[in-house]
Amino acid sequence: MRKVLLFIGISLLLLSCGRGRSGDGEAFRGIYYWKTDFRITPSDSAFLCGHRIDRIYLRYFDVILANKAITGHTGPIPSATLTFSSPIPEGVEIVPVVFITLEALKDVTVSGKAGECAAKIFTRIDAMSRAHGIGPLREIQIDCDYTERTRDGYFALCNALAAILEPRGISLTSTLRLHQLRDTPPPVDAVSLMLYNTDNFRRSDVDNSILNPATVKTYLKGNYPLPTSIALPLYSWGIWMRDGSFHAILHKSEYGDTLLYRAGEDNRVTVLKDHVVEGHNLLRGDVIRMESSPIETVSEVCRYARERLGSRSVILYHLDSLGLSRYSFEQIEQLYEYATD
Amino acid sequence: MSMRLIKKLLLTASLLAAGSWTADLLACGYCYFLPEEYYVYRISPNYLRRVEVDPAYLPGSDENCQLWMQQLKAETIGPEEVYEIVYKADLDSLASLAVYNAFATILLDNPEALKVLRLAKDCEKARFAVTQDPWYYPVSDDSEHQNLEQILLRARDCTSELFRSRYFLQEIRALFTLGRYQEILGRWEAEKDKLPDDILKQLTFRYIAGAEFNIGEVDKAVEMFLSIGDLTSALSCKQLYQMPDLDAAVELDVNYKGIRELLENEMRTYCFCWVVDPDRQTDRLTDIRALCDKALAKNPADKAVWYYTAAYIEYFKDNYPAAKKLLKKARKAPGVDEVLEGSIRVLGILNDARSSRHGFFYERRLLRDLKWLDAQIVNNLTDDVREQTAGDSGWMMRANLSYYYWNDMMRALTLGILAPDYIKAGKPVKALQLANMADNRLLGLTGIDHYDYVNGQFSITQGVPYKEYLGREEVWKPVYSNNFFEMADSLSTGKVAAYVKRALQPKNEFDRFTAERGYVDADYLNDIVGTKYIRDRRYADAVKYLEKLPEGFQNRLNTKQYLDAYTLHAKLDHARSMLDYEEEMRASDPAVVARAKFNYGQELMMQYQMHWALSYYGWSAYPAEYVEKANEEGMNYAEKMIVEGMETMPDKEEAAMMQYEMCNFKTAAEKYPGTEAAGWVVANCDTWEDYHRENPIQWNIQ
Repeated sequence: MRKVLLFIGISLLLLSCGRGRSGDGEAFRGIYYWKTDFRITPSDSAFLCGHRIDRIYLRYFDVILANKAITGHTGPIPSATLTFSSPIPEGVEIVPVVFITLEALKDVTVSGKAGECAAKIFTRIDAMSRAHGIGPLREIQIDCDYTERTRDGYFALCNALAAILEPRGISLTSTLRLHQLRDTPPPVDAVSLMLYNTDNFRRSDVDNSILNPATVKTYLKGNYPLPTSIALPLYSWGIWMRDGSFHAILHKSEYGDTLLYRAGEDNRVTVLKDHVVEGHNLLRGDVIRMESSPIETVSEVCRYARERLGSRSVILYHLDSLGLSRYSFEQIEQLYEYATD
Repeated sequence: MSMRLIKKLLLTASLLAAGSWTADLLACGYCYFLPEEYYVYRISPNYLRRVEVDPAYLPGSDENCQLWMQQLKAETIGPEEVYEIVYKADLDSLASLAVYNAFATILLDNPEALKVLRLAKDCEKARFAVTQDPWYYPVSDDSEHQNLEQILLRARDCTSELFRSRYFLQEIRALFTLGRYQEILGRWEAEKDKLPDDILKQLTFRYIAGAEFNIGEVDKAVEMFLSIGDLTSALSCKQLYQMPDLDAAVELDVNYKGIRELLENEMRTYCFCWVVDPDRQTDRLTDIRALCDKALAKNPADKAVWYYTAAYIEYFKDNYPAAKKLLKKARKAPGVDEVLEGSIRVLGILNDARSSRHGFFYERRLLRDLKWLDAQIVNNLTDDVREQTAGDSGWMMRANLSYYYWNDMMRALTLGILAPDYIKAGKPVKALQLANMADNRLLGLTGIDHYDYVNGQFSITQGVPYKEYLGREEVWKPVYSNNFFEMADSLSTGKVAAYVKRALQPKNEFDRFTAERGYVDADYLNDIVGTKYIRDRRYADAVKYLEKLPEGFQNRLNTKQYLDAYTLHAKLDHARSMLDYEEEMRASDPAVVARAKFNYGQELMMQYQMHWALSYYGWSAYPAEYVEKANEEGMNYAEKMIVEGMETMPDKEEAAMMQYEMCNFKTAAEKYPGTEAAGWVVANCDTWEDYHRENPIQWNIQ
């Protein structure tokens, strides 16, 4: 009898993790997965289950412009393809995401091969999904920080992809950056507005390039003509500067060693001694600007965006247990509740 | 300013200081490089040759073809026939290929061989469909995947022990493309000891290394690739695309077996390629120098090559004390083989020459070093070098093109370092002794091929002994187109005369050593001195040397066609004639003096123009403008003599005739009326011009 009750309990728990895919237009809870190896840890599982995540926006691969000298190929090719070290969690919808570099997009634009590129992207997504038991696909997302000059190429690519996806009942969504809000919307079914990387991290006069509410408010003036989900940051990093010039992004989050670092009054840390961090040679006098996503700021931006855009769906960036461990369950739950209440 | 440019300027300055530059303008049409630009850095026998791999070449294909020939007992057929079938042909066309391809015929009679070859080609085709398309992603139910699974089954159905390795290779290749890396490793463990150590096992090994990489064992994969000399794959594993191969090899494995080739290629590019931007050259050599220290810190098995390389770079940058210290370490370090030992000693010799004062103690060492270098020249002379040198009459050598290390180094030492230094130090005899030896030693050993065309037939007599060849009349002589000749022709005549005396009457071991190895022919040398004295207008001295020459010697000169055909000793005759005029100029009769000056001036003018071959050698047709320009002083003197002769001639008829001979018709008519010359001008000329007076020196005397 006890075994039966235990079995029922576990089954109920598994079944309760994730609410199944919401229908089109319904609010959903999502999270981006942006690493090159899909490996779900127990804490990742707990997060997915605990917050009843509906969708994982999973980066499948990037599309870059081939370097003929290295690869022997020309034109756009896939790169940094995701490897699968864990099975796909039950009850969570996977949304494949493909990031396209500007160089690749320019090549597609110039060559006029948007249709060919779209077909290749879809074929590969489809093969990866089938190979790893993902599906049926309901949505594919394209990510590209297109510019005014490459916009037409991007739109052509979106149109070509949409033509392939629509007969298959798959919707096409796109990421959207703040500066693109004022442009013509891309020809997609919906967008995910990236409310992070709001400022230029290369600039030395920026305090927190990850999320600046003032910058967000500058851009968010009113409604957007497409269904819009909100993508919010929950990550941190260090911006390594030397003599006021940007050098690299450091993923190390802890700079408490007082022999190596001296904390400033603001979010800047000064290097006291030459040493190597993540393969970079830091020199005495270098400055690391600690940037993070304080929950208060994220919440403020989330509220503001929801009010302006009427968005109810939230996608957090990104599924990384170390980064997420800085937030309490309630704080994260509140972000999703903001969106879905 | 680059070091090479500085050295060129110093050499130029030293030759200018030594004497006339004109000989250089005439003689040096052959130099591609300077003697100090010989390839010195050498750590392998292939030091001259950059091994460029044909991008179309498939690694292991030669050995694989050989193995096919062995396995099918077809060692008599050409490997290119095997290559065509194995790597290019479509097996469905085998029957038609068998018409001209013996390997195709053999295959048609060997069903087992045909079966495994077909398996290999099918596997390659299936793999190509997958690997060549960067967009492909394997799914078990796609057609490419299905094909590979079929290939795998066929590969595992090995029906021939002889071709077991071939089946196994195809199995591994199929598994690799299917991404089943762990399975590959398991199969390798099971089979590797049963496989013969041949090219097929090596080719299979690459996939095993690739499998290790793909399961994340990057360092192990790198080690495996390096063990088979595949640096490219090792670098790919570490994504070291931006690093030069040499640096990456040191980074990955300082004992990588291809390191010497990488070092040699880099050093050849940056030390000896004249098109390299000097700044880039300096930067890269500085990097390589630092790399030497880095490599040595890793305690490599081949330390000697790193010490040698570091020493060479220090030498190249003129840091001779540092080079000396490093060479000392190189001599005793592990890794010294026969090639490197010789190179270390050579670099030591060059370094010593650059850094020492060339006094008594140095010259003792020099003789010892020259003896050693000479022994290397003699003992290492190959047929290739012999044929090259004899075949082109030493052209490559004179052009200072690197091709025979020992002779090149002897020339680098003597012509590149010592001769210019000795000239600057006021020791031209030593410079000439060394230059003569440097230019003629090798030809003395190889002889020269004589090309002839007799009775409508073209013939070659190979390796005619050098002195015999130079004694022939009908051949072109290289001894008038080399560094020694250029030096002798540009130094002052007195210095050359001093050398000739020493060369013909050696006083010590150094004199004898260099004379025996040079071209010390009395006639050749006396002719040079005599000719230079004619050029200097020292006709009495010229006669002393020229009268020692046998009659007809001029027929052995390259310039014989430009000399007077009516006399067998044009130079001597001319010198005597000029001497006579000089004698007459001291006469008491002013008419005799005037006529002597006039004739002397004319002959001197012709000596610099039409009859330039009396005082110069040249290297092609009429270099009159060179001669005139170089002897502007002589030409002015000739003009002065002509004018003086004309104006001091007391006899009016003679004076008028002189003007007439010089085509100064106006002067002849107006200044000397009533003379025969004036009468002719008045009777025959419409316009009275003074052609010579208006254009002296350029006037072409007939």
